[in-house]
Formats: sequence, structure tokens, C-alpha cells
Amino acid sequence: MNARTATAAGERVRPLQADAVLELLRRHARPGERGEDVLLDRGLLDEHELALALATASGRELVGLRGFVPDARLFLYVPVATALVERVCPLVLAGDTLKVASAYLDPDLSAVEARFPNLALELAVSPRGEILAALAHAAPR
Amino acid sequence: MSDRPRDSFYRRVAAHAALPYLELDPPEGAVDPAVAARVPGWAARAYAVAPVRVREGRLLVATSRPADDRALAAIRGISGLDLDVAVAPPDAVERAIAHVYGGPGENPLEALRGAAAAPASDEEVARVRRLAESLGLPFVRLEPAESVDPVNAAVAQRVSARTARRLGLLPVAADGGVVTVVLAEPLPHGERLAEELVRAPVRLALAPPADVARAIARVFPTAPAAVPPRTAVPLTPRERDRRLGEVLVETGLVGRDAIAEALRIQERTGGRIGEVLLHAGLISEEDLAASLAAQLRIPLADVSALKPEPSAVALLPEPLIRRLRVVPLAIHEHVLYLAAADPLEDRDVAAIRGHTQLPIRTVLTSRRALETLIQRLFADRYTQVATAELLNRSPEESAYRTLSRGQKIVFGGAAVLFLLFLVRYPVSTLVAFNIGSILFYGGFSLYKFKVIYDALEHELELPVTRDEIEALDDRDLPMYTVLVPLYREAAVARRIVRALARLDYPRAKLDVKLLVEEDDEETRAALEAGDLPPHLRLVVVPDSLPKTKPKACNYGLIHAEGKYVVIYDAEDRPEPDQLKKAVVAFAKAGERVVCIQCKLNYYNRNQNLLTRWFTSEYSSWFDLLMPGLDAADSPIPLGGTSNHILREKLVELGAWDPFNVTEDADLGIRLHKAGYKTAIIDSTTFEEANSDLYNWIRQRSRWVKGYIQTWLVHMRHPLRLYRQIGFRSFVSFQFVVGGTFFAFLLNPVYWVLTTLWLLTHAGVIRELFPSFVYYAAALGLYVGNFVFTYVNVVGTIRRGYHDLVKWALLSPIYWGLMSIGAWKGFLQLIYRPFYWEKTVHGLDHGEPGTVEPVPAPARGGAA
Repeated sequence: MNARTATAAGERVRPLQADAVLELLRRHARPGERGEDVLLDRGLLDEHELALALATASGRELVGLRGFVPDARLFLYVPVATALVERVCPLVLAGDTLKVASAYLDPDLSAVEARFPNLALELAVSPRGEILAALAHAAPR
Repeated sequence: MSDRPRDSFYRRVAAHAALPYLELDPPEGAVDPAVAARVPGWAARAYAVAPVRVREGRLLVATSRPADDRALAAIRGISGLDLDVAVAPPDAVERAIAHVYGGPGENPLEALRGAAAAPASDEEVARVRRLAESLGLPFVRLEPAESVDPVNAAVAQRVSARTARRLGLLPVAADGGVVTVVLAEPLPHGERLAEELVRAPVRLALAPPADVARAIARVFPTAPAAVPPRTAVPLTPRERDRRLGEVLVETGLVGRDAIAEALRIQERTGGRIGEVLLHAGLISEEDLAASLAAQLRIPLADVSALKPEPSAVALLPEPLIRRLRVVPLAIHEHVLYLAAADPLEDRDVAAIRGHTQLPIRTVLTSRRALETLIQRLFADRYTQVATAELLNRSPEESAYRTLSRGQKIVFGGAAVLFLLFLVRYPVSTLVAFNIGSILFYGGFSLYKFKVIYDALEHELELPVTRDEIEALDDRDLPMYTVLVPLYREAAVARRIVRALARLDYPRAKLDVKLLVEEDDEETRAALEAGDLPPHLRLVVVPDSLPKTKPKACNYGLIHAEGKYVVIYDAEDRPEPDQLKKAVVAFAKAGERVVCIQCKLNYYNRNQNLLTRWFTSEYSSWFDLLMPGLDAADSPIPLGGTSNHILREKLVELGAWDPFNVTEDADLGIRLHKAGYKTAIIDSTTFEEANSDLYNWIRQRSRWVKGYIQTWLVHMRHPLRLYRQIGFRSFVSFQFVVGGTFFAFLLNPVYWVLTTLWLLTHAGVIRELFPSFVYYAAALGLYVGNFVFTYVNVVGTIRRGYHDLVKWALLSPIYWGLMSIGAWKGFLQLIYRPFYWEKTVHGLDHGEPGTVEPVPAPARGGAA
């Protein structure tokens, strides 16, 4: 959870300020749990509302993934285990840029960046449930 | 992307990873077959990493998955060499591996597909040990040692034979919910895979493949006809991390909010999440069993109506079946099939192995279904135990025989002598009888007065403060069994359910047995009409004689799980914190205290005159006499309900006497004889005072009959009793148990004589009371009446029922009713000694005098 997420959430649940939302979410999150998940699991926002808010706040593209089947080979870049934990889904490899949909603003893809130093990552925003549904098609090779 | 040449994709992967792309086709020129000595073929295949060559102490490997750190780490560990990694397309990697190793025949896991693997060689054992060390995994052997198989077959069942053979993986043990899974080789993402397969947290270990193969062959003796080649197991995101909560959410049984709430409760009270949800009423037992079965992939069945094979049932002793909650169902192809309410853990299997070495398969079922089956299988045995345990163990302590041979001789001889003297010396004999009666009344009155006076002077209850109760941690509370015998109680059956719902005790730690007689369909129907919460168990007591409350309680005790046991009657309303108070009291009391008696009082005291007197009597009995007896270390005839007893000690004493109609009083005396002590605490259970005269007389007749039974049982060997409990307790027993019923029986004789004297001044009566006897009797009359009226008045005041004081002053009329009941009970003892005069409850319905119970005012800092 970061300030931008909190700002987005704060705008949604006026008149709370972003800092207050941030603090509330932190308090309710269990160890290892993200603030975004708290928002969703508690029903404060639905997934699409959150995705829209995050995309608006970050200026990233909002990508719908309904019916999307990811290219299994792209999981060579982002292993399925990482994708599941970070709630991301590789979308397309264009040149040296891998476009990745994320349910959070700041997924931890440092391992991918370290392993593939010549690869650029481009993040987009997608609803969490759609990402998980897309990952359901990704059988490890 | 898919329209591009295959190789170009992996060239780009290599470029992005800053690794070289390796052209492996044809492999003959690119790959050095000598690398086979560095990396075993099974490892290369398992991790899809082709060893290419060794140069300058470094191993060049080709892989299509450069980000698979686990695979590369495993190859590094196995080879013992640092790696240079190159990227190649997966089919090229596969061809290169085939070039180095040939066909798949070398794979040690091939052994897993057959039934007869040879034991692991020393070299193999050493190799796997080194590998385990390099991977930081524990190394284990699975070969049985001294006939003890280290593999828990019931746990192994959590994966199918096919999965075990395909993956070279076997769950071998479970402890505290963590399953130990042994691998024949390091698997990529092994921990996640194993967790997914066994649906529980896992601890991984490595064993020689031959050990795993042989263990699988032992656990799954019949190998499948054909095993498909090994492939990776697809794990869909929805299946990952599927704990029980996830299964429940996925099946729509509970929402995520409920799971979150259950987790919070679990944190506070302990216990398993399934049980927390069950006791919160969010899922049924059947739901829980089904979810557990789905989670653990164990077959599910409703076994309540099943007829197990007798030969299978005979394998395990009944106590073990009851304790583990497992029932052997059948033996099929040398495998024992068990129905279980919970997945078996190592200690359970170890206990079973004490009786059979057959491999075990479990079938999950709901706890309710399993208990139904167990009760059906062993009903006769349980009835026999409930009826005859005390009689078989200590026949001298049982009221099965009303009079012992010695008592028959003594009482018969005394009666004959009395009659002979009465015929020969009628006046002298009756005068002597009067003198004896006066002495008895005098001693009885003074003793009771002293006990109650002492109780008035002091706070004699074991104090339990509010702070002590609040300091209890729910997680540390023990299981508590509540026995509720019910017979013809349809009218009040739901009341006890509501009263029990008010108890402040974690539901998961309550083991409530509603004991209903087999022929009492009305009560059973009334209870089943509403959904009983899961901690309330309906136990049907098979129809047999004697049909008494203690027999039903004994039946329930067989199935009790609690550390402590308490009895409540159908109409009881215990104070909500009573169980916690008892827990604190047990912790504070000395080791000798194995029983805590709570006070009894009535919630409908103002219903009519009878209930006012009854309340007054109970107030003096439980608020003054019992604490006084407790302080004097005298035997305490326990009250009919709300006595909390250590289950272990209760069983040790042979539990309740099913032939004694005041089994509670009898148990109190037996506890004292065994050297144990009863303590009184200031917590009240409110009952329904008998408001109907005939009903009241029936109840009183049973009480008096029971007191006579109790007195006779313990006076079979007066000298032995005297030596066992000492002078003071012996005297107390005579007055409190013997004196109570004797006075009720004797009173009418003197009331009649007094009345006749007042009316007629007959000379014959004057002759029976010569002057010194007359004055002594008159003194006894005044003192006795004062003492017993005083006792009722102060008891009433002590309880805070000041409005009842005026009614307590009319107690002498109440004593007349007591004597009617006493004579009824005494005569019934002769022809129906075990007959239980049923007290009808529910007569307070709609009565304007019925009031809600109020606890006694707190005194001396006690809560």
C-alpha cells in the first residue's frame, strides 16, 4: 500500500484523507497482506473501482483481461509463482519490453528485473480477479 | 509472438537475460556425454536442464527457463560445480538430455512404478544424503526398523498411489497439523506442490528413491496396472493455498468475512478453524466433514447406518475406538478401512498399531455420524457398564441390595427384641424409646445448629473473584462436560438448551450430553425440533432397568471428554459464569478437592406457599448447612445438580450408583470416604421449585428413600466407616444423612402423641412420659422447633429473600408435609427400592409468581 493507492481510495471514500485511509488499511492488514486486498476483502471497493482508481492515480493504462489467455512462454520471464504472489500477468512481449498487468501499483518484480537486465517492464492496471482468472490458464511448463 | 520461429523467441529470452544462446542441434557435436558423471539423468530430466560440458571447473548447462532459480540451484547442488548458464529452446534441451543419458530407463523413479524395488545401496544412500545437505533438507530413511514402520499409512493416504509413484513423493507423518512429506528427489517448487497435495503445511525431507519406492509399495500394495509418464502437476491459482477456509469459501458455505471472524475467535479461544466455524453455527458437522474430505482428498461417507464387519471391529478395543473416534469398517485385501471423524495423526496410528499392523485407509465422516455408529455398536456394553460398574467393582458400595445380611440380622433382631420387650414391659420399653428419641432430637438439633451457626459467623465458600475469572485465558480452558439427564421433560427441554447457551464458556470446549431415555420420544422430538448447537449431543440411553438418573449419567459419562463433569437438570438455569468459577476454584483448591458444589435455589419462589417454603429450606441447606459441613471437613451429601467433579476421580470411584435414588448424596459420602474433599463456591443454579403438592410429596419421598439407601449402604460396616472417616465425620454422617430421614419419620409419632395429650390428657400418655422425660421432651420440643425455624429464617435472610421470612416462620407446617413424603419413601423402599419417583417440571408456566433468578448478593469480595 502506498500513498497513491491511499489517495485513490481516499478520493473514493470521502471525506477521509489519504493518510488516514493508509493508516486504517495498515492497521487492518495481516502480515504480508496488502492494503489493496484489505480494501477489496472488506468490500470497501470492488475490483473494478479499485483498478480504475489506481489507473487514474498512476496514469497507467487500464486493461481488461476477461477471456484473456496469456502466452505460456512469457512465464519464463515472470514465473507463475511470482505472478500469483504479486498479482501480475504478463501480457505481451514487444521488442525488449514486456507488458505486465498488475492489480497493485507497486508489484515486486525486482527478481525479474535482476534476472533479465535487458528487458524493460511496462506496467498496466487490471482488476485482481481478472488477473487471477488469466493466471488460471497458466500451467507451469 | 506465436507466428515467429521458435528459436528466435529463446534467442530474445537469452538476450534479455544477458545470457548466451546455445545452439544444441545437433547435440552430438555440442554436448559432451561425459557430463553424465556430474549430473544424474533423473535430475537433468526433472529440472529440464541439460548439462553440456565441464570447463575449468565450471559446468555449462542449457535451459529454456533461465529464471528457474530452484532448478539451477538443484543442479548446482547435485553436481557440486558452479554453473555457466545458457539458453536453448526446450525441445533442444530435451534432445541434448536424451543424447547424454539415452532413454528414460536410468531414472531411479522408475523403481517407484514397480512393487519390488531393491533396498538402497550404500552409495545411493550417501549420494542422497549429500544432496539433502546441499539443498538444506533433512535426510531420512523409510525402511522399517524392528518391525516399526516409520511411515504413517493413514497420513500417506493423503496422496493417491498414482501421485506418489508419479512424483516420487510420500507423506509419512503428521504432527500438530504439519505433514512431513518425503521426496525421492528434489522437486521444483516441491514445498508448494506438497502443500497443495496434502492440503496442509508441510515439512519436506529427502530419502533414497529406493526407500520411497519400497514405502509406497508397503502403503499401496496393489500397483496400478499402468502409470502414465511423469508430468508436471498443473496447479491452478484457485487450487493453491487451499486451506480449509478456502474450501469452505469456494463451496459457498461461508463468506470471507465469516472466515476472518472465525480467525479472530480462534486467536482468542484456540482450537481449529473448522471447529470455530462449527460452534459459531456457520457450518454443520456434515459440511465440516465434507470440506475436510475435499481438502485432504479423503473419501467421505455417512457411516451412521452402516454395519461394519465384526471381524474388523474386533481388531480394536472399544475404549480406543471411543477415544480416537474411529470405527473399523472392513478388511479388504489386507487393508483395514476405518471411519474417522478427524484425519488420523501419528499418535493415533501408533495407538492403532498396538493392535493391528494392517495398512490403514481412512474414510472421513461427520462426528455425529460416527458417534451414532459407536453408540449403536456398543450400546449393550455401555448399558452394562452404566448399570453394573459400581456393583461389580464395589458391591458393598451399591444400593442394589437394600439391606446386607448383617443388617438384616441386626435390624431384625432389634425389632424382635423391641417387640418382645414391648409385650413383656410395654411402658418401660416405650419410656426407653422416648428417652432415646429425646437424645436423638437433642443431638440432631444441636449439631445442626452448631454447623449453621459456624456458617453464619464466617464466609466458608471458596472465594472466586471477578478478576480471577476475567484473568482466565479462553485458550487454556479445559474441556468441560455437562450431563443433562432428561426423562419426560418435553415441556422444559428447550429451556435447558437456552440456559446452556447462556454459559460463558468457549463452545468448542463444551461437551454437553443431553441424556434421553430410549422410550422418551417426546423429549427427543422436542430437542430435535430446534437445531441443537454442535456442542450439544443427544445421547439416547437404551431402555433397561433401573431407569434412573444416575444410570443415564453413567451412560453419558462413558462418552464424556471433559476434564470436569457437571450435572444440570432439565429446568436448571446456572449462572452464566459458573463453569469458569469452578475452573478457578479447582485451580485454587488443594489437591484433595475433586468436587465443587454450587448452590441451588429457585427462580419461582413466589409462585405459591409451597415454593416459598421450599426456597426457604434450600436457602438454609445450600447457603448455610453445606458450607458449614465443608468447613468442618465433614461428608457432604451433594445436591442433585451443579456438582462439578474431576472426571478422572469420578471414574476412579465407579461414578454414580444407578440403584440409589439420591446418587448425589451417596457420591458425596463416597468421595469423603476415599479421602477427597468437596468445596462450595458462591455460584447458584436456579431451579424450578415444585409448586404442586402431590408432585412435591413424590419428589420428597424419593429424596428420603435415597437418604435411607445411602445411610444403609454406608452403615453396612459401621466400624470400617468409623475408621475410614473418623469420629467427627462419622457423627456428622449420622446426623446429616441418618438424622434427616429419621427425624422426618419420627416426627409424626410425637405430633400425634402431643395432639392426643392436649386433647385428652390420657393417662396412658402420661405414663410414657414420666416427669424427667416429660421436661426433657418439652425442652427438646421448644429447642428443636426454635432451631429448625431459626435455620430456615436465617437461610432466607442470608440469601436476601427478606420477603420470605414470614413464610419461613410457618415452617412447622412444611415439616408435616416432609414427614408424609418421608413415610411414602420409607414404605416404597420395601417394595420398589429403585423406583424413581419422577418430578414433573414445567409447572411454573405462566404463573404470575414466577420470577427471574437473582444471584445471591456478593459477599466478602467474592464475585
